Amino acid sequence: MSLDAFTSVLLSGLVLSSLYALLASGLSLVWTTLGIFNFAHGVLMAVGAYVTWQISQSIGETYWIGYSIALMIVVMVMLGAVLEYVLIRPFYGNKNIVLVTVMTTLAGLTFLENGIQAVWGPRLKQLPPLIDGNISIHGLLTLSAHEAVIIVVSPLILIGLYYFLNYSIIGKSIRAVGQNQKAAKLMGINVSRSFILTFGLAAALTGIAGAFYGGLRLMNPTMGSEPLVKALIVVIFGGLGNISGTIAAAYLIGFLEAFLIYFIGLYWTPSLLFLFMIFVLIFRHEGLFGESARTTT
Amino acid sequence: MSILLEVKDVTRTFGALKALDGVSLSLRKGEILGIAGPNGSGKSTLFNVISGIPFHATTGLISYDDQEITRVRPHEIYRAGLARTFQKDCEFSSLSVRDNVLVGAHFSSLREEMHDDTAIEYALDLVGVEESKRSQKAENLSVFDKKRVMIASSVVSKPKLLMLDEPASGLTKPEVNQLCELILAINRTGVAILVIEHIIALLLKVAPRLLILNEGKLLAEGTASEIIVNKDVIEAYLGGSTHP
Amino acid sequence: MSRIKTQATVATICFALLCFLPLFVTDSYIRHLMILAFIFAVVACSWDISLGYAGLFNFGHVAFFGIGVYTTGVLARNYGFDPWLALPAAGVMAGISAIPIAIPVLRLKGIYVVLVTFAFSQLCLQLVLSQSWLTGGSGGLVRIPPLTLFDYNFARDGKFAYYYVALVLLVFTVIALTRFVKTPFGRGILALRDNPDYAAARGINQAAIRVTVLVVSAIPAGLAGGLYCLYFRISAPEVFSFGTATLVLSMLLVGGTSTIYGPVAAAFCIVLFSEYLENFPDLNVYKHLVIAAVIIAILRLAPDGLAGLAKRLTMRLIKDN
Ligand SMILES: Nc1ncnc2c1ncn2[C@@H]1O[C@H](COP(=O)(O)OP(=O)(O)O)[C@@H](O)[C@H]1O
Ligand SMILES: [Mg+2]
Repeated sequence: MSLDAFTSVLLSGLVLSSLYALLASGLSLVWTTLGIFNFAHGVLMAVGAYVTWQISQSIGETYWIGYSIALMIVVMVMLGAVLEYVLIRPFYGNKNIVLVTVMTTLAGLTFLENGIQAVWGPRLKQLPPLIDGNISIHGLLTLSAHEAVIIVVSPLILIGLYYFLNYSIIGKSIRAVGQNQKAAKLMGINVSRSFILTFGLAAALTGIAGAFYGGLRLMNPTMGSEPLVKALIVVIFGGLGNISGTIAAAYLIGFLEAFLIYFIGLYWTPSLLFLFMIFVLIFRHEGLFGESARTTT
Repeated sequence: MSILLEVKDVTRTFGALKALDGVSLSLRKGEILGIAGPNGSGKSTLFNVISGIPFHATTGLISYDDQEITRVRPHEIYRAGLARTFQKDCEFSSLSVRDNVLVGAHFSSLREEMHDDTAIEYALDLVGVEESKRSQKAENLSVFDKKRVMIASSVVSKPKLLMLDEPASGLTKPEVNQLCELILAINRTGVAILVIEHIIALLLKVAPRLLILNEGKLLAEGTASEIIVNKDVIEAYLGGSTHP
Repeated sequence: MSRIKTQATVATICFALLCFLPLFVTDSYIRHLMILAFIFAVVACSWDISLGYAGLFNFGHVAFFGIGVYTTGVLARNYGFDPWLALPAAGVMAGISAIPIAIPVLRLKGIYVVLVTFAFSQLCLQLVLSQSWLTGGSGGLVRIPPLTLFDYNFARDGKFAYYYVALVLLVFTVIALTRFVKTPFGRGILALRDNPDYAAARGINQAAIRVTVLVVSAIPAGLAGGLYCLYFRISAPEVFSFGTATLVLSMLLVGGTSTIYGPVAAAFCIVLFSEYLENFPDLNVYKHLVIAAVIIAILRLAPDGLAGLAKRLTMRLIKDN
C-alpha cells in the first residue's frame, strides 16, 4: 500500500468514526436511560441537516453555517422531547414496551422521512462546509478543512458529553435513572424529565452529525438509514448501555470499515461487519468493552 | 429400602455468598422428607440445584435413581420423574387449567401412553380443583387453586419424586389441612416427597423425618420429636427473624 | 364456547365470500389488491407464531420472506426450474435458513434477540447486494417466468388464477398454524413464553421449542415470498428493507398478536386503506404520514389490536343477549 492510499484510508476512517460516534452515543444513551431502542434515531440526522439548511436560507447565506447549526440544536432538542412524548411516553408500563416502541419508533421513522419529503421536496441539497478550503500537511496529507473540523470537533463534543453525564447534576441524574429507575425516583430525581432530556440530547447529537454530513455529501431524506445501521453495529460492539465503550467502538469500527473497504472491497465489507456483529452478540453480548450496565428483560 | 435421591456435599455460591455449603441428604423411595429452616437458609436453592432450574450446583454430586444428574438439563430431569413446584404461586397464565396440566403430561415420559384427557381429569380430581373451573384461564384462579394446579401438572406425569417448595405459604388454616391430606394422598400412590416449609409445625403433620437448614448448612436431622427439642434448632429459629 | 363458534362462523363466511369474489369482481386492480393482502397476511400471521405465541422478539422474519423471493427468483430465472417447483423450494429454503438464526436466538434474550435477528436480515440484504452475478445486485432479477398450467398463462388472465393461488396459500397457512398452536406442543410454546422456569420444570426443552417455532414460522413466509416473486415476476432487494418490515410488523401489532386471525384482518385493512389513500392525489407524500400516525394511534388506543377490540365487542354482545 502506498503512503498516499494509506493516509487517505486513515482519514476517511477518522471522518466516518467521528460521525458514527456522535450518532451511536445518542442511540446508546437512549437505550441506557429509557431501555428502548430508537429506530427513528437515524432519520434525526436527516432532520438536523434539513433544519440547518432551512435556517441558513432564512437568516441568509452570508452568515457562517455554525450559527445555523447552533439554532438547529435548539430545534432538535425540542423535537427530541416531542418524539419522546408521542412515541414512547404513552407506553411506559406496557409489558411489551420493547416491542411496541420498536414499532412506534419505526412509525416515527416513516413519518419523519416522508415529512422531510413533504416539506423540502425531492430536490437534492447540500450544506456549505464549516470552513472553506483544504489543509495540506507537509504535502503528505490533504484533506478539506470541513473534514478536519469534523475530526477535531466531534471528539470535543463527546468529551463534553462525558463530562456532562459524569459531573453535572443533570447528567448524573440521567445516569442514575439509567442505572436504577426506582431508586432514582425515590431519591427525588424527576424521572420523566430525565427521559425527555435524554431524548433531546440524543436528537441534538444526531442533528450535529447530520449537519456535518450535509457538508460532505448531498442530503436526502433517507441519508440517516445507513449511518443508523452502522451506529447500531457500533453500539453492539461497544456494549449496550456503555457510553465510553460506544465511543471507543465507533472509532474502531470506522477504521475497520475503511481498511476492509481498502483491502476486500466495497461489496464484502458490510456483510463482514454484520457477521462480526452477530458473533459479538452470540459470544460477548455485553460488547467488546467491559460489562453491561443494564440487564435485559 | 433403596435410595431414590442422593445429594452429596453440594455447595452453591453467589459471588461471596454461600447459599448452600456442603449439604448432603438422601431420600428413600416413597419417603416423605421435610426440610425446614429460617428464611434465606438455602431451602429453595437446594431445590433449584436438584432440579437444575435455573442453575446447577457449584460443586458436589446429585444422583437420582442411581444416575448422576448434577448437570443434566432441567427438562430431562423432569422427564426422568423428578417434578418440583415453586415457592411463588405460578401458572401458565394464558393457558386454561386443563392445558396447564396437559403441558405437564405431554412433555413428560408418559407422552406415548396419553391418548385422551382421563389422566388430566384424574390429576385435577386428585388435587381437588372443581370441574367448573377447569376451562378457565389459570391466571384467574385463587392462590390455593393455582398451587393445586401446579401440583396436578406434576403428578399427571407420575413422578417418582415430588418436590414442594413452601406449598402452604399464603393459605388459610382449613386450606393447609386440605393440603396436608393431599400430600399424604399423593404419597400413598408411591411418590416420594420432599417438602419445604419454614413453619416446622406443618411439617410435623406430614413428614416423619426432618432436615433443618441454617445459613446454607445442615443444622440437624432426625425424627420430628427429636427435632423440636434440638437446642441448635431452637436457637436458629429464635435467633432469626421468624418463629417456629 | 360461543365465542369460538362465532369465530368459526365468521371465518367460514369470509372464506366463502373470498372464494366467489373474483367471479363478480372483474376489475383486475381490485383482484391485485386482494392478492397483495393475501400474501402479506401470510407473512404477518406466520410472524405471529414466533413474535406473538413464542414471545421471541424475532425481527428477521421479513428476511425469510426475502429468502423466499430470491430462492424462487434464482431457481426459476437463472436455473430454469419450473415455477411450480421453485415455489415450494422457497418454503424449504426459508425453513432451513431459520436454523442458523435459531442458534444465536437460543442464547439471547429481549432486545438482543431484536438486534441479532435484525443483523441477520441486514446480512441477507448485503449478501444479495454483493452477489450480483446470482441475484442481480441492487437492480434485482427481472423477467422471472410466471406460473403456467399446460398452456394457461397465469399472468394473462386479469389476475384470476393468481388470486386463487394466493387464497389457497393463505387458507392453508391459517388452518395449519391455528391447528399447530392448538396441539399440546403448541400449548408448550405458550407455556414457555408465560413462564420459562416453570416450563423447564414441566419438561419443556426451550431449545427444541424455539428452533421448531422459527422453522414453522419461516416456511409460510418463504412460500409467500416465492409467490410474490412469481406474481410480480421480479426479485428486488427492497423486500429486505425497513419499509417491508415496518409494513408487516404494523399488520401484526395493529391486528393483535397471538391470535393469527388478527394480523390477517389487519393485512386486509392496511393494504386496502393505503390503496384507498391513493384516491386522493393531493395526499401524495402525506399518505405515509397518515399511515404512520394511524399506526401509533391504534397502538395507543387499542393495545391488543383489532383482535382485542373484536374480543371486547363479542364479549359485550354475548353479555347483552
Ligand atoms: N439467584 C440468586 N442470586 C443471588 N443470590 C441468591 C440467588 N438465589 C438465592 N440467593 C441467596 O441465597 C440465599 C438462600 O436463598 P433461598 O434458597 O431462596 O432461601 P430460602 O431458604 O428462604 O428458600 C439467600 O441469601 C438469597 O439471597
Ligand atoms: Mg424459599
